[in-house]
Amino acid sequence: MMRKKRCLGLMNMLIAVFLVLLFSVPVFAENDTLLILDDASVLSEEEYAELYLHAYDITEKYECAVHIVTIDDPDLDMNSIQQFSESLYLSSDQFGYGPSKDGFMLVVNVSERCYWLLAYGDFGNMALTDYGKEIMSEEFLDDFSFDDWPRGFQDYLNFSEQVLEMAVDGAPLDKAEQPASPLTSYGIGAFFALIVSFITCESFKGKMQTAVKSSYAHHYIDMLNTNIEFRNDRFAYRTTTRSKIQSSKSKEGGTTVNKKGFSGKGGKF
Amino acid sequence: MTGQIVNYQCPACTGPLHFNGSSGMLECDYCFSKFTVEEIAKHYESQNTKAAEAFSEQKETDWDLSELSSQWENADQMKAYICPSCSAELICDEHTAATKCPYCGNPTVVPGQFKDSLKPDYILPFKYSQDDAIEALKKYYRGKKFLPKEFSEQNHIEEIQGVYVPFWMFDGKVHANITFDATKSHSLKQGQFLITNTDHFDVHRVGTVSFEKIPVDCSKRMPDGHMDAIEPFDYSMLKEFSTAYLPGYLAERSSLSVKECVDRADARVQNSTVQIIKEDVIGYESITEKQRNLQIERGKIHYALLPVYLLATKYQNQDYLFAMNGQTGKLIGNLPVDKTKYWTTFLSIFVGVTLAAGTLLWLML
Repeated sequence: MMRKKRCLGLMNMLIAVFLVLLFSVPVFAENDTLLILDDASVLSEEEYAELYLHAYDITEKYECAVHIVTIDDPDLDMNSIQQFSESLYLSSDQFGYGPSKDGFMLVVNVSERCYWLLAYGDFGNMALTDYGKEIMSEEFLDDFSFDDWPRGFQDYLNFSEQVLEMAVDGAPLDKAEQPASPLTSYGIGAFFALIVSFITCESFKGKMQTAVKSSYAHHYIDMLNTNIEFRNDRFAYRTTTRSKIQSSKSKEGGTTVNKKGFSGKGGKF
Repeated sequence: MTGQIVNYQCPACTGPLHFNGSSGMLECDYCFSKFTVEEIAKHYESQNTKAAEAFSEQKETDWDLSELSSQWENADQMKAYICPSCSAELICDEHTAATKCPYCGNPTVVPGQFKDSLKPDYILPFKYSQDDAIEALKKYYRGKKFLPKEFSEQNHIEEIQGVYVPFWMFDGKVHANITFDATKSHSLKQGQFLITNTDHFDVHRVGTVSFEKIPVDCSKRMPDGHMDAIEPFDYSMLKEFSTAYLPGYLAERSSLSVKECVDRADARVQNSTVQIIKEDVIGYESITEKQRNLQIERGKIHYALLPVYLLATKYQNQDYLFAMNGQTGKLIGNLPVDKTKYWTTFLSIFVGVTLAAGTLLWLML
């Protein structure tokens, strides 16, 4: 029963992808790249044109396609938007730049108020790190919260331009690039020092206060007449906990890429 | 009042005798003759018996307190004896068993304090001298960072006494039946998740832990913390009690009954038993006690006098008492803490570590 339901879900998704491609009014760049797909019709013609030109400039300058997709589908929620976005990106040669299909794509479902931001290709993934996605999301999410779609997309394009410029310079925006403030470093140092000082001084003080009552009588145990007569270790029950692995890469920075070659981040707004 | 106490005098010259811990013999301060404990005990056997009998008779005609003022309400806890050497009257605590005449300086023993059921089973002779105790105290001051300078510089000991402290020694067994919740866990990676399986076990142990001669001091005057902290004593050197070991030291008989002391021994054996049983539960990552049933099987009780040096000093109108194990030389006591030194050290460490750790973190991050 579950298997049948899953098959139907996948079919629906592929049909959705097909319909999106069929009924949208695609804008083709000179290299036949589909940059903006406004299926939810949230952009006016002027807004659309302005965003398209900006996306086109970025794509051509950095050889990394920057896509915007809007949809209005109540069946597409947070659980399925990632799969939908990745399927859409791989479904056509019109997504991504060149043979390596380098690119970013921001998919926004206006009815479920959720989004997925992905990067693809070696250069795309290198330019838009996990940390970069976090910062970029903060840039556009406040606009989306007020349904200010054009400004949100403009922020997305501006930030994409910034991270691509940094990547071309050989220093993509990443966690490691953000130096810790001296205040934080010395704050942590002070906390550590407080513990060390307390332990050291109390240890010195403890050596001066040696007249203490004894709680044990270990010195007087007669080992010859001491024995454990019964031992029983019985398995009772098992508990299982599941925690997400905080990869060292994400702690240090970099980009987490899945088996399909995508990196991504999503959420609600 | 007459003839209740005995002065242990040299059979050769009648000079005062004292027990020397390092030689294990009684020595004369004047002619330097040396006698074994057995020789002196035999020599004074009849005198001790007479003194003990006189002590028993005296009980009926002790102090008449009817005309004393209320300020003397503790007078019934005092006893008066006549020094056989100089005939001076000695006023002592009712538990005093050995002391020194303040007039002629002769060591005196009250054998009646240890008569019949009050006679200790054992005595552990002193091994260290008073000079050793003073040296040990000086050594104890060394390396104490927060000790006020004036305290160590003045270093005047108000009083030093070698005391045979009375102890009850408890034998017994503890039958323990304890259950624990113990855990073992193992983790495995599944995709982006870490799955941790924790296996819980009901661990059951039943055992018996035997104890021998747990010492609990039965003197009201001795602080419990000090008496516990100077442990352990080496019981292989325990001797059968004889008053011949007492000359030169103070001694007192028990002022607390077995009932009053048994709780301290019980608490210690219970804690140790639980720990011994817990140490048997191995191979787990965590052990939490769930249920315990401890039954104490009480055994013999021994009565012994153990050697302790008490060193008293004063600093800023406060008394400081140190105790040294007269057999092992272990010295303990609470020293005054110089608050200025404490906070100066605290701040120095704090600033130093903050700068070092902060700079290191800043460079690393």
